[in-house]
Amino acid sequence: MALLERSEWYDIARRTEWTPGYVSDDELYPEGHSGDYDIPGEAWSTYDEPYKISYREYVDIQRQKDAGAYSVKAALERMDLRSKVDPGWISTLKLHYGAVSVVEYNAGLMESRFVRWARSPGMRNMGTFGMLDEIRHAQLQLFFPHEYVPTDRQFDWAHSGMKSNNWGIIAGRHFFDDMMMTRDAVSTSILLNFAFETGFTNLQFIGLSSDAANAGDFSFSKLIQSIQSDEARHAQIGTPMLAMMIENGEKERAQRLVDVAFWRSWKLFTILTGIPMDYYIPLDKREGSFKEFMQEWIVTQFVNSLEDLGLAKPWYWDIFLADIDEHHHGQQLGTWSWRPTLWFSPAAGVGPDERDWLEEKYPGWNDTFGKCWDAIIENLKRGDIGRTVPGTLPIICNMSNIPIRRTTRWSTTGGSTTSARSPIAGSSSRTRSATPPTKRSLIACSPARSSPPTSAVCCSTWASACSATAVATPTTTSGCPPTSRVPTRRRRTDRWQHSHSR
Amino acid sequence: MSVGSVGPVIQSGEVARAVVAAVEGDNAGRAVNVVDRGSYVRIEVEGECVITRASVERELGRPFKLHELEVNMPSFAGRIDTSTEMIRFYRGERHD
Repeated sequence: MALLERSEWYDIARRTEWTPGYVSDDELYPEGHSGDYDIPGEAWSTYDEPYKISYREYVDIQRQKDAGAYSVKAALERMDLRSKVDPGWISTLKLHYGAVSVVEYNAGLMESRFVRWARSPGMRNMGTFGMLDEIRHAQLQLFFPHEYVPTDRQFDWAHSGMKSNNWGIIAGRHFFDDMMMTRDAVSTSILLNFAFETGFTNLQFIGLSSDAANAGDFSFSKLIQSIQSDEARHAQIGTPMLAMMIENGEKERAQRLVDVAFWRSWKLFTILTGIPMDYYIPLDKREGSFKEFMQEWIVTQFVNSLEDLGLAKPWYWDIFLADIDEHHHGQQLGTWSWRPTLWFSPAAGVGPDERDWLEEKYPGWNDTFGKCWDAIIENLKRGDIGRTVPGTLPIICNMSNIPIRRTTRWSTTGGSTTSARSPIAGSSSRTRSATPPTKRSLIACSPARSSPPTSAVCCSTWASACSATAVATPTTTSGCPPTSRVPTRRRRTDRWQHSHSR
Repeated sequence: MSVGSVGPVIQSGEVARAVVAAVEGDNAGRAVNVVDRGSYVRIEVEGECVITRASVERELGRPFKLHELEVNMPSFAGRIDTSTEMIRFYRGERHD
């Protein structure tokens, strides 16, 4: 018997749902779980998921994906990759697995909440696939690093990391708790599915796959692209939701959700992706700079999607663009300095050739961040290791939960300008030191335009690490670029010019 | 990548080569831009990009179900419409 094409039965099957008779609508979809947005009941039936798939199709392609990823791993594990590739790449793997693997199970829980609490049957249907996707991601990313555990226990952090109170892990856990575990279904679909999954995960799961392939780690390259192929589908859960919110007068709240998720994602990915791409990965294996991948995936692709749907760039856009040039360089100084606190061995990545590359990709690097590294290198050459390790813990932002650092740009703009530019006022003015996030901080986490932080807070931790270790004490202030400098389009490498029109 | 361009991002390999050729055939008259990033290729068409099952099958030389494209497609630019015979990437209002 011939099968009907999916399009011939999908809409009927998707719209099939019960009409509740024993409980009220409010009991079935309580606000806390389903959202308190002002969207009328009949509007929910208009939710039309754009990336349609049947369960039969889903099982077929997921089997193909798993067969591909596990086969590549099985074929290549005899390569003994760990002993052959650059240690910087191994650190990239450890950072990724420690920060990502178990979180995927949480993402499965998030999707399961769509299955139960989403008011639209189409969203519940896609949530079911998304839930299965995320369980697959967790299992893959626990299994792939396991082969390394017998010879390198740092890989055990793939499983144990998320249960620790390491400051870096807390930053990741706080982000995911806030973005995907503690909000209603509607908000979560915008925060996580739309802003995070159609935007930032592309950096780590596709951009980094190019570097992985260049480094010879085809298992990891295949793994993360396989994972992202699921994300490309279930990330579309948020797109029709966003359109519904705009159509029903909730545009302002939708924009705010995007603004919050974008800023939080950006800060997290400066460490997760920015540092490995520009410092850990061997120079000759780099496909492009972090900034170039940001330009491709976020500044262009994501913003195109955002504006196409009728929303605007986040209000702090200029600050964000400036941050692309600077923020992760400061985080690299900090994470390397606090290397005894990490579950991976961070590469400094600032040899002469690497510095030339950094200067080419980020003009002004040598005169700013490079001077901090000069001081560290001098201390190391003199055998004064103690002066390269800070004696205190990093000061942590109460919202992003990553160490507070100053950008060179901010440091030269003076007090008033510095304050006016800060996007995360309420949080930056409060700091913590390795204490778990409070419930309040989980909720009060959006970028706010008032109550700017003091410059003293902005100029604290990473810059202190630099000056504390310096013999000649070159501060970032003395070497920062002029305030009038704006982010400029960088000259690309040949690989990045390798496009052609046909 | 230009502001108005849409299209799939495909893992490098046999399917990517077939999809590039299929896109060129299915979007005649539109400039097709292909950006090679090593492990993936970004296929860009201004405004709208159509991929039909028939074209992909012709290029691959074997049967191909369009939902299988997901196996090799970790991302895409623009909005998406999926059916058994055609996938369409587009901007702005839908044209159903």
